[in-house]
Amino acid sequence: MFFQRLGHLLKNLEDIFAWIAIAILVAITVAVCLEVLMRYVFNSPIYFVVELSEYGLLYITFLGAGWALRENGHVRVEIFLAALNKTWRHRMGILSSSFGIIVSFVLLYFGTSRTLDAYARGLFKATIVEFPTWIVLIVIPLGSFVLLGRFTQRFVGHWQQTEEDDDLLMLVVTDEDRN
Amino acid sequence: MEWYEVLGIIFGCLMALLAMGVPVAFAFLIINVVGVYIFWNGTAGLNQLVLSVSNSVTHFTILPVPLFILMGELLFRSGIAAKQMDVLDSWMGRVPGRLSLMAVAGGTLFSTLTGSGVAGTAMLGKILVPDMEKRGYKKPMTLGPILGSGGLAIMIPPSALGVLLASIGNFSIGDFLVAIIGPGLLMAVLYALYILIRAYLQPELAPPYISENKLPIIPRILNTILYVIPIITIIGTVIGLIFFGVATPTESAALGALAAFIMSYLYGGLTVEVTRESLKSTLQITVMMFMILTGSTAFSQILGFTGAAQGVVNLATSFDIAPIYVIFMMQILLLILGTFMEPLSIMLLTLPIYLPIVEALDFPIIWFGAIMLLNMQMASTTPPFGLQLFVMKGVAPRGTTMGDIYKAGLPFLGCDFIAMVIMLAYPPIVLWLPSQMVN
Repeated sequence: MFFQRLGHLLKNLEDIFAWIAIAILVAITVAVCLEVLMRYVFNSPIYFVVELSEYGLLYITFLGAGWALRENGHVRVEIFLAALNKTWRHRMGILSSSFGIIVSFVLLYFGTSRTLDAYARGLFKATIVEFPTWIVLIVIPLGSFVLLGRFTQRFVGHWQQTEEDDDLLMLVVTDEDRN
Repeated sequence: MEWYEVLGIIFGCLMALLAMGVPVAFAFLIINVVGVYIFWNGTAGLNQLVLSVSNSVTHFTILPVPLFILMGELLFRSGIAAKQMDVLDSWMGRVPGRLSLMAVAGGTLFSTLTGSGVAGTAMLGKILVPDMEKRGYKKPMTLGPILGSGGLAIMIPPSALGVLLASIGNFSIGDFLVAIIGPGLLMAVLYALYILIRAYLQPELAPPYISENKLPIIPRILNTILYVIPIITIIGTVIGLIFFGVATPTESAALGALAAFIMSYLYGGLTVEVTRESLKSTLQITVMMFMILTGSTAFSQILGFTGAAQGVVNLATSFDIAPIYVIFMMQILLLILGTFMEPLSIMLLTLPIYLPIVEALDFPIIWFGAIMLLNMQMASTTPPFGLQLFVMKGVAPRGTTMGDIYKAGLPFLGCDFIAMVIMLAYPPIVLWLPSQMVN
């Protein structure tokens, strides 16, 4: 029950993050178009659009990362897995989720420490906008936190052999192919 | 440790991680985490890695990637693309291999479906395969042309993968997008020639038929003006703005995405559902690509730091053969990697080592990049593991085996290979157009 709730919470969090990422993408598109318009038609460029869009790209990447993992959006080499039987697929699943857990933990831990450090020292980006560095960096631990949750969920799923890899089923050789 | 030992360990571990099914992005990040921990002084290195992750994607120049993808998604999902196929169909006369040529023409036109040749293949397959079957087309004339033409999305701008290649390789994205136009069209012409010749020699593969889609000339022209001209205008404007130096690639991509939005709305295809699905799909592809990119800076720094990159460069330049053969061998190696890896990870893996070699041998980087991009397109269709082959399996008629698909795809890989040799032998096909650009 508790774990079900936790899973539900994770899913909601991923969805919220993904929609924020989409909102940022749309905002960037509109902002860049406006910037071009202002520059060419009114000859008064909006100087912060380029820089803020760059930070937006980092936000899009990390806010969408957990959600994309859930949707099997992160590309991987599937062909070797498809050749394995179910038990071994789960073993490989356990192994690869463990690596995912390590990466997201490292990014979470050191991302948090970098963010706190930038906040404490009051660091700014050395540009005209002088944007606070911690606001840029904070999305790395935020996104990694969700990733860590999703990889952990995968790990548990493969451990209990309940996680089914839908993507792989397409690659598994069917009888039709053998004919 | 010697540089080749380090290189062997890094590549070996990466291959092992990929074979285990670790998503590409995280496989590179694992290598980075371990690499910086060893080479950059422990936890200090990991702190540095966070900054490197952030610096890898905060570039205004890679913003065209999501924008180009969004543009393609909107045009495809709102049904404008399908409408265009009808118009194309109405213009084609009684040529041999008519539907196969449609695949090439459609693939060229829909190269707006960027980011993935996969999307192009899936769409062409869904629209054309049922019709081809009904007309009695045999597999070499259905599966092959669709596989080849779907991949044209990678070579004809706007191309998301092209933007990424230029960005990882650190050369001008605008120049590069213009440079791949020539090779892309060359490939389309080679495909069309192959189809014409084969259909002429073996008419039973593609039986001729009379199209029922025979509109009188006036509505035909009207349809063309209504459905084809606007798309061509969007693509032309995006490329034109870059070519004439009016706007940066990012700015023209944003204008293109906006135009695609407006157009889908005007054609009544922009429902809430279409908008939502387009945005979600764009986000998914973008996140996938950018997450892989987050590992790029650190990975190439590790290769540089350990002396591995320099070692390979010294080795490659020490061979006593003409430099062009070195380039050729590099491309062959890419082809081999392409049989089991997907394009973006091959680029990440090889560019940090390849580009210094190309520079040392004094070849134009853009020219090399264009050949490499062609190679990346081939990577997605080479047996046995090319991703597009499996997409093709998904949309192919029932009873199609992977063997059928491999066989049908091979002649088009042959065309790609011919295109590659032409580009190697005659660089102006890549370099002429960018040299005409207005800066």
